[in-house]
Amino acid sequence: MTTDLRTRLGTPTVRAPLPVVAPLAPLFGEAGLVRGRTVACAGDAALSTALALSAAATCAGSWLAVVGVPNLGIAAAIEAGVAVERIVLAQPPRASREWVATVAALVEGFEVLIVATPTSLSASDARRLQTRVMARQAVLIVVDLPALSSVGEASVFASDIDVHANTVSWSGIERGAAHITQRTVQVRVNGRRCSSARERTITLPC
Amino acid sequence: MLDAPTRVVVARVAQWSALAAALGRSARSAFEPIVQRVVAHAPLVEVATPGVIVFATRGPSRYVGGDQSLAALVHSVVGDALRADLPDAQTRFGVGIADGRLAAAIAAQHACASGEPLVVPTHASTRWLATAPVRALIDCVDIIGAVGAGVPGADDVASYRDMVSLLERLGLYRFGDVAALDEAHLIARFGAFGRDLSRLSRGLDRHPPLAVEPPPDRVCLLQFDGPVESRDAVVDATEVLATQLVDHLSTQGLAMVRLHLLLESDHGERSERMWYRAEGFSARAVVETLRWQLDAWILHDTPTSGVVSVRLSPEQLIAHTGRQSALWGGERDGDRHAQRAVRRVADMNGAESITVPAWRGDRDPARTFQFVRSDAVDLERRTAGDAVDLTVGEWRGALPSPAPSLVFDASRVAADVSLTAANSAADPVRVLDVSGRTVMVDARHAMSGEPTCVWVGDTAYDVVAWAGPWPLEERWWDARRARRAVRLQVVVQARERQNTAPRQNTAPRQNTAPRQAMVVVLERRVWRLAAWYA
Repeated sequence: MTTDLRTRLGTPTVRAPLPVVAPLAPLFGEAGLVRGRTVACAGDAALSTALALSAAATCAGSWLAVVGVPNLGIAAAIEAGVAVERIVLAQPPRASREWVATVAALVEGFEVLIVATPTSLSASDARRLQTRVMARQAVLIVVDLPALSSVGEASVFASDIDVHANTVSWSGIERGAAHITQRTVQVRVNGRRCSSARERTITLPC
Repeated sequence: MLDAPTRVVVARVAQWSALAAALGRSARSAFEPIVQRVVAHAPLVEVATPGVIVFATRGPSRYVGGDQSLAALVHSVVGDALRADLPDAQTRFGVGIADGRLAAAIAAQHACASGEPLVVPTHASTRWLATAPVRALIDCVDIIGAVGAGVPGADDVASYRDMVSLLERLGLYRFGDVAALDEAHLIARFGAFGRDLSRLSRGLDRHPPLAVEPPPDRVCLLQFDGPVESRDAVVDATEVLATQLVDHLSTQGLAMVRLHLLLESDHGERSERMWYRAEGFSARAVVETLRWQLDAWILHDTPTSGVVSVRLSPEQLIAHTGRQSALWGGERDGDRHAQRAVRRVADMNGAESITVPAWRGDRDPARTFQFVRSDAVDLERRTAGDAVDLTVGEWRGALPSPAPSLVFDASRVAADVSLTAANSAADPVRVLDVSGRTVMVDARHAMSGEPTCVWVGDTAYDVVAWAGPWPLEERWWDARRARRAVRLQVVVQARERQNTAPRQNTAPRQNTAPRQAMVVVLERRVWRLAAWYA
């Protein structure tokens, strides 16, 4: 029965996963970022890590849409290695239905999306969006941004992979002297689509 | 066919896009009422870009009795329209008539400054143009297009500016200086740019007339089975047709620069307009103009039934020089898909809701990049150079690397609001010293005390480390726009909730909250959050 259905459907065309920059690659195994997945980024370095995570893919020709982060520091994205000519910033309406419609339209053309969820987003709309992401073989990176009051919880999405990025130390800065030169971040990756939790300390920008 | 320039009227409103943005309207829709009023007097106007109207004087001029009266008429019509639609805006506009688009555009620019329409007499344009500075090419880029096929499209203004500055360094300040040179020499030195420049400076149209008579039948007519009510359906159907037309022309080595677009409704209502693209129409550009025309038609004339036919007639063809594809691989499917998705979203939420970054350079991290509306750029042919000026290294006074991932606009210069509209303004924060007083910085950049605590909203953060204060003095010569501020980079740790309650003499417990970093700015005695390393 199962084989019957499978032969009738034919082998699904699985596209190659998106590449990940070297320091983060061991966390995602040899496969890189598997398409169709939803990645939730949390922790105080969530946005920087999300940018680093999408960098290699944009350099390889994928387009990156950053949705609902009007204050994105483009310089930080460039330092993370994102190909700046393929970043597009979208500020969709914050109402759940319209927001999802907009992001769903973006999923059609963008392979990587970094989204900050609006507070109004309902779980059912989030689920619909995830289905679309899966169908279009894109990668949805949901970031938690407690620094922005307009951004809701990333947990409204049923994430496949959870990334926690917390700063361990800031080097270079003292009490009244010098400036930040480097940031050391501990990144932990787990989730329902991860065989085992992995952890690694990296420096940002990597 | 005579190689003589067409005599045209150019009416332009100075800095239209900035003006429309300041009023919170899209440049196109805000410009449309003005176009409508001009159309009442001259049916076939070309809209090259929002803010600029061009049309041939031949018919209208004879009708109203000469170029002078035509210029006066257009001047009063545009003036009335501007006053009616934008009563409070301080706008400058000018009307110029001359032989050839470039001369007319420069005349319009002069008219802008003087406030009176300027008519350059027939056959005197070349002499008049000879005294005009080549620098004017930069301002006329939207009317005549970027000169030279080597400089693709009007979006690449930066490299265009370099070319003009090169001409100046070579001692060619005026069009007369250029016209005095041999065309062959200009072509040898500058290639396609030299050829166009030579033609323009001799008062000719940029594109030479086609030597071969084009085969007649190039008009494309799209007839729907029944009236089509949906705008998108019309656009989609036309896109297919436009692609065929453009492909067909390009196989014959031709491109159209002037397109006549006619829409007809089931009840016989018509909308016709002439469109001009100096660099030649791509299928994309045809669709864009159609969309614009449809919007205008629906909004102003409200046709009473659906569209039954769309007619595309190429009015002026040029030899297609071809387009150099990108260095690596050229256009890709991914680029096209992204472009399409962006277009859809722009249709859904407005083009201003979806933007791309463009480097602009500033000390302020929130203003280093501006966000350009996606419809103003060609995403399919975007290169890193369009987004970042790679030639500029470190910007003096900019934040040192690593750059913050969230930036807030801490300067509030009203005139620049449009540029950074996507960036929300910075929230005030409190920076306190050990005794709970707000930290202040005196004229010698000395702090009144060490920062020990930062309040963001209702969260208190203990300062673990800080750097600064870094002074920021901008435009001190201009009292209106001068800016004096200091920046402080701080590493903080959220204070644990239970500790916020006053408790005497307890040993400080180990705070396990993550250490976060931010940049705060003190300006006019108020601290604001300028950046967050999220």
